[in-house]
Amino acid sequence: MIDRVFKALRQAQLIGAKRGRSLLVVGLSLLSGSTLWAQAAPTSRTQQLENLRLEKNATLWPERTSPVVEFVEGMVERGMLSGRLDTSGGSGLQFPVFGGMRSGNGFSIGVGYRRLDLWRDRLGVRMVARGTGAHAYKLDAQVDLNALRNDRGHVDLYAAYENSPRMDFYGFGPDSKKEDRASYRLEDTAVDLRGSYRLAGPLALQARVGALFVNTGPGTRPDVTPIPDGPEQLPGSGLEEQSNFLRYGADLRFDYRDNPGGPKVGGNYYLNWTHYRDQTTDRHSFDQLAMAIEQYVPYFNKTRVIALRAGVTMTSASPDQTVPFYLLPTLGGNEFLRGFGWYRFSDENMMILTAEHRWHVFPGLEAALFLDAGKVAPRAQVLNFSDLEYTGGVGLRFKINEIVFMRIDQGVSREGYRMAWTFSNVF
Amino acid sequence: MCSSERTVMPMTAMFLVILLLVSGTAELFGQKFFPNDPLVNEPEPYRVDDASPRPLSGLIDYFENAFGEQGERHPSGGVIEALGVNTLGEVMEGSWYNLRHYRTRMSPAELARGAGNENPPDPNASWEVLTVKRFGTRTGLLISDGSDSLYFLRFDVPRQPEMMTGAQVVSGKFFWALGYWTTQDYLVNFNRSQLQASEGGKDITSIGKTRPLQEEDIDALLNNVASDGRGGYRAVAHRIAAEARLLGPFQLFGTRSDDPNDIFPHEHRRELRGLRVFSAWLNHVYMSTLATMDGVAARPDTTPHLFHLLIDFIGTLGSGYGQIKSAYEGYEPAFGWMSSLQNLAGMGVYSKPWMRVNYPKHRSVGRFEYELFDPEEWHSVAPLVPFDNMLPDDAFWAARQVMAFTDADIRAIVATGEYSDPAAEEWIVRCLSGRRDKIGQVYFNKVLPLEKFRIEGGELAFDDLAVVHGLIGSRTYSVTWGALDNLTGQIRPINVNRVSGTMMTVPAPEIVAGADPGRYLSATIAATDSPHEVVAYFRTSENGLNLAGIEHHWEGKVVAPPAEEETEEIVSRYNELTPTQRELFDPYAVAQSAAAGKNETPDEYFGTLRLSERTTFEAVTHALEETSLTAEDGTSLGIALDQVVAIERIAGAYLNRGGDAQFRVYVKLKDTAYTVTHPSGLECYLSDRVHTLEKSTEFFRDKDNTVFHAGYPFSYRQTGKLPNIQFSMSEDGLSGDVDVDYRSSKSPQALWNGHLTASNSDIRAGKNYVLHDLRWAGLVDWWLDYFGKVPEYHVQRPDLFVAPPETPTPLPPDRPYGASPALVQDAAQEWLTDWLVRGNIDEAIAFMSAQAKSCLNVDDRERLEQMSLADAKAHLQMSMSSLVDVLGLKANLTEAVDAILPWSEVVPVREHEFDGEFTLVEVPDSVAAAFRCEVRSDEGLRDVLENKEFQYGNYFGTMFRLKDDRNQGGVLSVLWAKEDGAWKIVSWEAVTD
Repeated sequence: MIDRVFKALRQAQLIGAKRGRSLLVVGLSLLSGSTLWAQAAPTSRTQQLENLRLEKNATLWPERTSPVVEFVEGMVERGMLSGRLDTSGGSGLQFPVFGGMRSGNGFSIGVGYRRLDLWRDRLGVRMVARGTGAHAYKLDAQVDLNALRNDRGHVDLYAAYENSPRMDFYGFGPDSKKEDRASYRLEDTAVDLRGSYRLAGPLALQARVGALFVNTGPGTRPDVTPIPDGPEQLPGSGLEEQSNFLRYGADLRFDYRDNPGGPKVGGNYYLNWTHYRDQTTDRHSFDQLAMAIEQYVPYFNKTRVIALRAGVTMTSASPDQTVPFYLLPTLGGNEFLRGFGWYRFSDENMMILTAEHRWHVFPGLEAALFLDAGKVAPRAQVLNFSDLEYTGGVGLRFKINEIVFMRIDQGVSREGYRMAWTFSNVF
Repeated sequence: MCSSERTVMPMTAMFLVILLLVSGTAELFGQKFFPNDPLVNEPEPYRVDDASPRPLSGLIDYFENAFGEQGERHPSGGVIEALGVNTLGEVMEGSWYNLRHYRTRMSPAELARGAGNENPPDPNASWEVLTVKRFGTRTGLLISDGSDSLYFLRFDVPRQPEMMTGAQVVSGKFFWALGYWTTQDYLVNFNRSQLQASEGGKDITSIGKTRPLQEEDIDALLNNVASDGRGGYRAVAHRIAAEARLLGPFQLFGTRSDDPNDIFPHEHRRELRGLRVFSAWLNHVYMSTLATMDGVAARPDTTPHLFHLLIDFIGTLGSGYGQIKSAYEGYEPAFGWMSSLQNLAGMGVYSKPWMRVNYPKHRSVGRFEYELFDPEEWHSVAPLVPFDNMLPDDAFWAARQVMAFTDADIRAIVATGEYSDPAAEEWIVRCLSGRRDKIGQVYFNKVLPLEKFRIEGGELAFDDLAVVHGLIGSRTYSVTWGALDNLTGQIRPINVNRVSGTMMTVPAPEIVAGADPGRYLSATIAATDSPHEVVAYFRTSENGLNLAGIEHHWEGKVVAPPAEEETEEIVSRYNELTPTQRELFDPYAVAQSAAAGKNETPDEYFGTLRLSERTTFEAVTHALEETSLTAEDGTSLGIALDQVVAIERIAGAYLNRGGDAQFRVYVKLKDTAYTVTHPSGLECYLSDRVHTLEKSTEFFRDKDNTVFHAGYPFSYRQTGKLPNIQFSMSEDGLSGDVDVDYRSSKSPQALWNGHLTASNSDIRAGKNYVLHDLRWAGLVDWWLDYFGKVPEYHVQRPDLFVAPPETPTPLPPDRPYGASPALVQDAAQEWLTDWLVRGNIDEAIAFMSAQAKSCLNVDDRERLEQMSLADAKAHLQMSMSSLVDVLGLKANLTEAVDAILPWSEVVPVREHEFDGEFTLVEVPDSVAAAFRCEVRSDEGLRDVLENKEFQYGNYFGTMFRLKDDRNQGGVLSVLWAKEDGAWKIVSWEAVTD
């Protein structure tokens, strides 16, 4: 037993651990009366323990606080771990911030700063700057007017500037060809004031008004033709003029998911209407209507979840107006029809059907089998179940505190395999 | 376990002798039992004064456990037996553990009492909320009910009322009855109206800072907890005793390096290994270092020492943190390679039994069951090394305690959870009973579960717990008696036949009963239906046979031989001292040891010094030894250490003492007549060494000590950049204290750089060692390594454990910028409040006269600064802001400053309404003139004080001490005079040591 204690003391560096010293050194130190080893053999168990304590006492060290521990504990105690992913806690510098930019422009990383405690919690501010290796940038800021927040209502102001030089466009409609891929730059600035009010239970109404300033140009994706020189001339698409929009809309939502960041039970149904008014050319004003039903059916103590989604997005414009191509509903990419490339299909209307079977691997990881089906159409009347595009695949969802922060999906479609790595949940 | 079993390297006979000498413990000599075995209690603990608070990270701990291996595991060749136990295998009682319900059955009332039920928060009192913590791992309210105790209230989440609070209370009482130290927890029901934000209260924000508490902060927290919808809340109140000092969690491996009583690696402590069984029973899946706490017992009736608690049981039974338990919890670790691969490969089709458990829908219970429960397959969320190290005898030790709880016992404790749903309470009782039985079934089969050995009527009797608890019927035992050679540990069979019997008694042969006193006999007991054995050891005495020890042997048990250790150099700091240091230390050590009735050598005595005393002695004497003294003509005057003739006392860290009484060496000085003039005008006799310092170019006569260094008014400080040595000497010049100042004493930096705290002279604090080595190279930082540091002493105590605030003095409303109060005390109050409470530095600076700029000295140079008014203002603004940054804004003036009294009657004190915060004195014109920074000197002030005629009325002084949470802050003396009809600060002085 005692040998074990000495060994542990040595392991804990309480006793010097330099190896290779000769026994002679020890012997000489003993003969010279070294404290540690020169004790008389104990005559009682009490004395034996006293000796051990005496030896420990002779080699006490102060307990140390690792700077890493201080840093991590500081983050945890400020609610940083949860606060990065939801709206509570976590004020301070946020680094790194992954995701949050338009897809298809490279791996993004950013730095943010959030303060939710300003004006005695009546004002919350969040600012993030992000960028990718493809020279895409995004700067955004949100001001939460918590003074106007109560258990029913909430108001915030959101502004963002984003420059995406590698946006893809394949042409209009479901019959667009993969080889027609063209690249364009989408640079926009948006400012939106949003207010929401919970009408009853999970039923909430949101209204918003804002402005969108758009600038497009040739894209920079290598080996892909920039749009102005490409096969599509896009007459009336919005490419030839730079429009500024006034936009406003409303959102009616019935959301009773248990955990919006990683739902396992409940549902989320919404109807979203937005009107875009072209303030520059008066040629691209239109309305957009999006509807979706998301349902989560758990079993086996929530270690399995069947997640279902059906969504439709429709746009309409008066005869003298067109929907600009960069605001068209799209399919393909990391969210919809995951076996197709980003923005693979674009048209004025879109529908998507998704089914996922998710299962527990360990608390930080969930796996999923998924099937997407969808189509785009020039008219809402042809949004039916014929000529659907399909994608199947498997995925991994990485979670912290039950919130999905990263997702890897491998999808397969008639156009081949595609892997999606993104920092958001699919739904 | 015996030395004869030890494999040693080839060595000469001399080294074998040395090895024998080295083996200074009983077991290495081969002695198995001591006369006082079995030891029930740990020996009286060593005194522990300077253990430091230390946070640990549960997150880092988790990753280290999940993806690495902490602590020592069983080697491949065998197992490491539990430590911290006596020869019966019982955990020695003391600061870790006290056997309770198992040793003496507790009544239902005692079980329900737990760690205590005498001190609940007063339900009829108004509860002052001192701290609101809304973020992080443990959220809640720190309250005071007006008694000596504080309480930390924790709540349920809205979806699961009563679940978390019930689990905390119920499991806390179980763990108490099982023998652990726990907090006193009370279930309280109260209305919002009972809570009041304390005027000095704090809200911890999401940025991690504190701010003055407001009622809305309390509401913000309560909005997210379970309530009855009518303003009523239920919470669990952890009592925080006033006498306890909490140091943060303990690690589940290794030992605390600053606690001499902590000698057994935690991963081998039986009470922590066996904790796995208790945790499985109560589903304490979140058991981790964060669920523990070290504290210092500081009651007058005990020697201050560390004790070790389990504190957090919110996540026990079916409860999780903020939600019910996840389905996997208790059945799989949060991460395991094999379990994860199984789940992943199962593609969601293959499901494990725990996924399919049908839990009853009790909102106050969560996920808790007993039918699928298998104690061996139970998992904590994070792997823990003591749990991994649990052996069958550890598990038996724990399982027999679990089995000691009857259904009635369980029911009595579960009732303290005060569940409003009787079905929920009944379900918990049923689960605990069912899980208890499974624990008995599993672990009583891992060893031969015998205990309570005794000789009765010529028969060896014992209890077979498997039989006692009805898990099996009777069985047949056989006993082989032997004689133990206590020095070698070898057992020699006694020439008697193997005997057998049933029903837990076996006849003992006559030779056993008639053995000579002082011998040891062994009885090796086996059962026909078990592969395991138990060996009971008896010591013969005139009174018969007394049980001396028990060993459980299970099938396949192989005790790992002590690991091969190469001989190593042992750190003995005494041996590292220089001859000069030893020459100084040895007589002191011998005298101190003799005074304590001991006969320790200096080396031994050095080992008994507290850590901070050793580091202080080394640092101070090293600095003195490395400091040469030179006369102005270049003649050598020796070294500074030569001037010290004896040590009177080595002062290390002393909590709650000022920085001028810690981390210094009190010395006797050389006795040669020399006189200086005391501030009072008296001629004083000083030593020659003072004369030497006076002559040396390395020291100068500093300002006399008027506030600090009581009894040592004369100060000599080393010249040059920091750090420097300071001699503070008595009036007769025969004694003094010597310390090393690592922080600037120049005002205004001294107010906030730590000079007036213990950090100033503690070699271990902050970057002090680096500074020391830069000036006096050669000191070894043996107490420090790359990864760690000693925390600064001015670090605030954790907010959860702050003392109740004083009642603040009411203040008038904030006056506008540039206001000119008619009374000087109002001006002083406004200035201080603007500065330290409101943080309005600009408004505070408006009270400063342009004359005061001469008081600025922004570096360590002796010469005062010559700077423009704008520069002076900028520097002053920076200094005042820096102080606020360090101390933080205070909720009120009472929390910010404390009045101190002047030492001279020349400046009479005037009463005023803020005299608890600062002292107001009348200052004679002549003294005020001499106090001006541009002309101030000790000599000048002394000259003025010698006059007996004083003219009062034009000047006033305010004196106060800045409050720091743990230390005495700096003292400021401020001179006020009227300029253009407004009271202005015309001069000031930061009084330093």
